[in-house]
Amino acid sequence: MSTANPSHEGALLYADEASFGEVSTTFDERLPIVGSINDLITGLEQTSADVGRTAQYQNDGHNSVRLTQGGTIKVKLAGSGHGSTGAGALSASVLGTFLGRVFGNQVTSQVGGTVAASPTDADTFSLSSATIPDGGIGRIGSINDGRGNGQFYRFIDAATPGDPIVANALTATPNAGDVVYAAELIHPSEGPTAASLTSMRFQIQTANQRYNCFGCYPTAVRLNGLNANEYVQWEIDFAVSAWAPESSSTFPTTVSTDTFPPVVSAGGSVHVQDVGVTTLQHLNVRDLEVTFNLHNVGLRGPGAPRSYQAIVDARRAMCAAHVKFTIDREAAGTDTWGDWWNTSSTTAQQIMISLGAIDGQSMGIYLPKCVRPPVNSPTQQDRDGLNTYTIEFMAVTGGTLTTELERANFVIALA
Amino acid sequence: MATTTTTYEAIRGDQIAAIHAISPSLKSDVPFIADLAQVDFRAWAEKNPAASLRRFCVVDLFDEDATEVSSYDVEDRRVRAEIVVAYPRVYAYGTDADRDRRDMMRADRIAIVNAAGLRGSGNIANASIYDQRVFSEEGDNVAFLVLEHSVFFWIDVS
Repeated sequence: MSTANPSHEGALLYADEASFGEVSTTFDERLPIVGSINDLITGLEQTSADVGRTAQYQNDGHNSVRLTQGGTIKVKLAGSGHGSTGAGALSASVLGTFLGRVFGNQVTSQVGGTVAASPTDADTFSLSSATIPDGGIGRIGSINDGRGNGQFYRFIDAATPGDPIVANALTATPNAGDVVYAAELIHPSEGPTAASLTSMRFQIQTANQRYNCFGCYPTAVRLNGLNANEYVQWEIDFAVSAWAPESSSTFPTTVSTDTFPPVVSAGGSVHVQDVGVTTLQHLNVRDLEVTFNLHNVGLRGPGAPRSYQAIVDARRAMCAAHVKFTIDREAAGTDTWGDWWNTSSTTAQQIMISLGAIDGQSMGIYLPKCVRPPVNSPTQQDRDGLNTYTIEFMAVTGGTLTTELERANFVIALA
Repeated sequence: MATTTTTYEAIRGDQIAAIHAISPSLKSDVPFIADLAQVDFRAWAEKNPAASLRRFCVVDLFDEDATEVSSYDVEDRRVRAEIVVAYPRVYAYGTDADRDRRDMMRADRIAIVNAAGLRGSGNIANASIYDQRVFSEEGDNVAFLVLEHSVFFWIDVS
């Protein structure tokens, strides 16, 4: 009698490790992964090799030797927003917590509120009942209100509102009472010695075999679905240092997770402006790409808690980010971004990407300081029969170095 | 960098006006006349060939690609449309008969493309014409010059 169960049934659990590769089989978080659970399992590796012993007969042979374990699991997730309203205090979402592990930092301390009485202008106003740190990000108003339009804004001086309070001005002066939605923030560290990394263990559950994976650390991040008519998706690769089949866990698991609707990329905006200039400047972009170059280094060495584990630690080295998009060509004689590129010392740009404007189902990405990367000068290209051109920016450490949030080369906001 | 928006209705109006303004190089005494009344222009022309010479219509084919840019206030649109011009088979085009009809269609094709097609974007406010295909449909009583094309523009969705 067959014992094979349906292959689409599965779950992915994880927990932080107190030490790299910690010997523990408790799991307190569950990820709402998408795709086939078996795709994760096929990424686990342990090879064996022929030792090459001499034999006395023609077809005699010997067992191969088992080598160390490793492999990569690709975690695919729908890119949700915060999942619930940002109009007040926030609680950590499953996705936000996980992305915080991936990139390094998660902030859930922002509290939403409203625009206070007597706002001055589109970039100068006070907040009421809100707690937003300098460098915080939130959404203001609702789509098509003609003021904040429900888009994301970077607060540069929210604690003691000055002139201006936001790095990117609203479309018009907000009304007193316009809602300021707080966001769950995720960002990398910029500190030169902030290289520590919290490793994770995963449990891959199916209706047949289950596997525990130890000493896992993120090695690559891909963000897809940023263009109109798409929805946001994350794909994160984890290196696995050791793994083992297990059978004592309970499947189906009772560990809860979130299944929030993913962020639909429509009704958003892309603001690109000189650093220090708050004037609104939205570009109608297509083929928008945000790429993250996560560089975490696994360290091999002795002292592992398992016989076939070679990697004993991992460190963060950098987490670069690039933004690339295509826009319509201007009239002859105007070459906004070609001129920008063709300057010996380009003016650094700040970029705010708003994906959607739905309370609880929105995502923003702010890159405080973008410079010219080592790419060719933007010229002109055909795209579906129309003249367009493509521009690329490299996000570097923010100009304000006071806090990690302010100096992070990018901040992801779930709201 | 504000985006100027328009509507397909306005674009179609500009195309019709530009075609009306054409002075044909052949048979210059027969102007282009937009047909605004018929639900099915081709069927009407087939039934009324004598009245159909250089009558034309601009039709939204309702074949749109998914929007590629959606901001809170504007979205891009790529509308597939066609310009259809009628040339009755029974008309006395000249001594070369049907060959003269084809020559006239070829000459008109250039004029229409210049006015409202690929090279006529300058006559159409806030829109670009692209991905053009020109062909002839041979009906029983009427031949149709068809200029299928895409129109790109930004529309206000606020």
